[in-house]
Amino acid sequence: MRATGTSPRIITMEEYRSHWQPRGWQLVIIGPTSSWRQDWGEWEAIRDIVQNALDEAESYRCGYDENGLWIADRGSGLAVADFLLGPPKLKPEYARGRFGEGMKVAALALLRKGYCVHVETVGRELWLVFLEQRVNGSAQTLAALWRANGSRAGTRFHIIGYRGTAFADRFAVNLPKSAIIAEGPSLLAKPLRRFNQLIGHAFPDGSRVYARDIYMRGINSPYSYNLWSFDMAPDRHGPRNETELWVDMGRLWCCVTRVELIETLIKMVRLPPQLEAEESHNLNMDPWSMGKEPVTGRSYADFIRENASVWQQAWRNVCGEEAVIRTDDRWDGTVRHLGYLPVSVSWYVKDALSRAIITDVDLVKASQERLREVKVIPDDGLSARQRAHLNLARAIADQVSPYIRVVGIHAAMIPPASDRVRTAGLYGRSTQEVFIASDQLESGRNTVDTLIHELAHHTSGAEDLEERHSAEMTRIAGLVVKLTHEGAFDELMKGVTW
Amino acid sequence: MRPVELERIVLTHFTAEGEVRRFARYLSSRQGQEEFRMALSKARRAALTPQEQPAVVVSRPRPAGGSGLEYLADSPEFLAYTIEDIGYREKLDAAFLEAIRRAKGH
Repeated sequence: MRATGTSPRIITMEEYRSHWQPRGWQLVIIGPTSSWRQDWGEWEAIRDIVQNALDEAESYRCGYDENGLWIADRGSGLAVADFLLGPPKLKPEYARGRFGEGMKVAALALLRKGYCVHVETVGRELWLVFLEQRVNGSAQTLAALWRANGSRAGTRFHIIGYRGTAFADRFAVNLPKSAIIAEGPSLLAKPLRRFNQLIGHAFPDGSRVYARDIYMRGINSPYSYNLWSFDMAPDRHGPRNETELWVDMGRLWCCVTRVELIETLIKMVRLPPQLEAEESHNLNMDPWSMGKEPVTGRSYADFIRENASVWQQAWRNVCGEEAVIRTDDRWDGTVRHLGYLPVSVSWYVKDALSRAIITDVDLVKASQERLREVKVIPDDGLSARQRAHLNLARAIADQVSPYIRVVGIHAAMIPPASDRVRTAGLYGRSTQEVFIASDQLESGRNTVDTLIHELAHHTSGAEDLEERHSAEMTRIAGLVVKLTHEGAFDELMKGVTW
Repeated sequence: MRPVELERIVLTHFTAEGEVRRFARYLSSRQGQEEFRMALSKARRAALTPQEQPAVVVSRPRPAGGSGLEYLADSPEFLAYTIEDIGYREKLDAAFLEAIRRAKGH
């Protein structure tokens, strides 16, 4: 399409001087040649025009007329200088665009595709054109024809000849309100508080990540996201730093309060994943990386603590009533011993989840604290039968382990080691004492069982489920049987009830 | 922890400043600041200097198990299970029932 007088695309200096200048049009040479940014097509061009409109007015309108697609906003309008490469100033941090150059590249890409670009803005109108110049052949450089005229408010881009898609669903502002299923404050709070959004919407090409309201890329996930707190690479094809995207997603998840959504998250981040998604391996909810919400100053991870009951409910629904977060597999045996089940979750969500969900360490620590409350029952506080069984236990210990002696064998009131198991026997490592629950002492059989087990802790130094403990139990039990056969405890047997 | 137990543990096991500090840190998680300060001071006094440290520190080495827990608690069900598991249930029952019969003169 050459200059037609109504819709110019390529003009020469002669055509400008003969046709346009006499009609009051001025020419501004913007600079780049028509081959610049070959990777830009219609989507990239429309993306940046809409981005600019949203930065101007937080909303935009678009539609088609007899000439093609138009995109309009109600912003303060554009200056001619805004079309020059190297804008007068960078856009503010909170803006969707950052460098202010997309609009020029958008016009260039559209012209290259064969469309004409007309801009009507406050006080002026412009045609973006290629200026054909003769320099050892010919070169087309981006230029603008402009003159005073235009609208009284806002800016309207007209892509003449374009009747393709306006990519409406690639801008989060166009999604139905019902598609936003959760929101949480981003790091951007001034001049507008921006909210990261979790999107539940069935897109034909799968879930998506929007960066500051604008489509960035697809994601293998049950959800789509609209995120605000990470910087884009200058070409806007991805984040400047990939980790920042996943941390920002973590900030959003910290603010989610619906059980069913958190259930899905847990299915994604438990190991191995119950629901395989990109979040399974990349989501980052590290409290330090997420930082603090700028308005309240609270740590993002603390939002989980504030909604602990919801997170706990979701955790129980997915992992079971008895599940705790595994932080270290060396606690696995102890955790199972306490009637719980250790469940692994992705490394970078572990700390945040533990603000609401009990971990193996929490469980063991609470158990140990509770067990410290063990109370010894003086011998004269026992029944004759209990005393007889306790004396038998002490005699067995003296005979079986004469050199590695325990400091004491006591009847005791032992608190339950957890809310899921009772405690019948206890060995205190630092004090080297064996405690036998008073109800165990009602039976000689239970007393001897307990003694053999706890004595094996003492002599082996090993814990439950360790091979050394099992081996030592076998040795002690064998010795007890031998000594009993030999009559070593016969004097104590009169008061014993097996 | 009762003072007498603290004293015993310190004297029995801690022979170096590093160990004293570790023990003091552990105490700090369990006790108030004042008690902690006193415990640290006591532990320091009790610790041996490098010159005083014997070649063999602990006379009854008992290697700690996997997690290093202070209290090892067992449920009645687990106690019974472990006796079954090592294969001594019937042997113990038989030996003790026989001993009881002997003792009671049956």
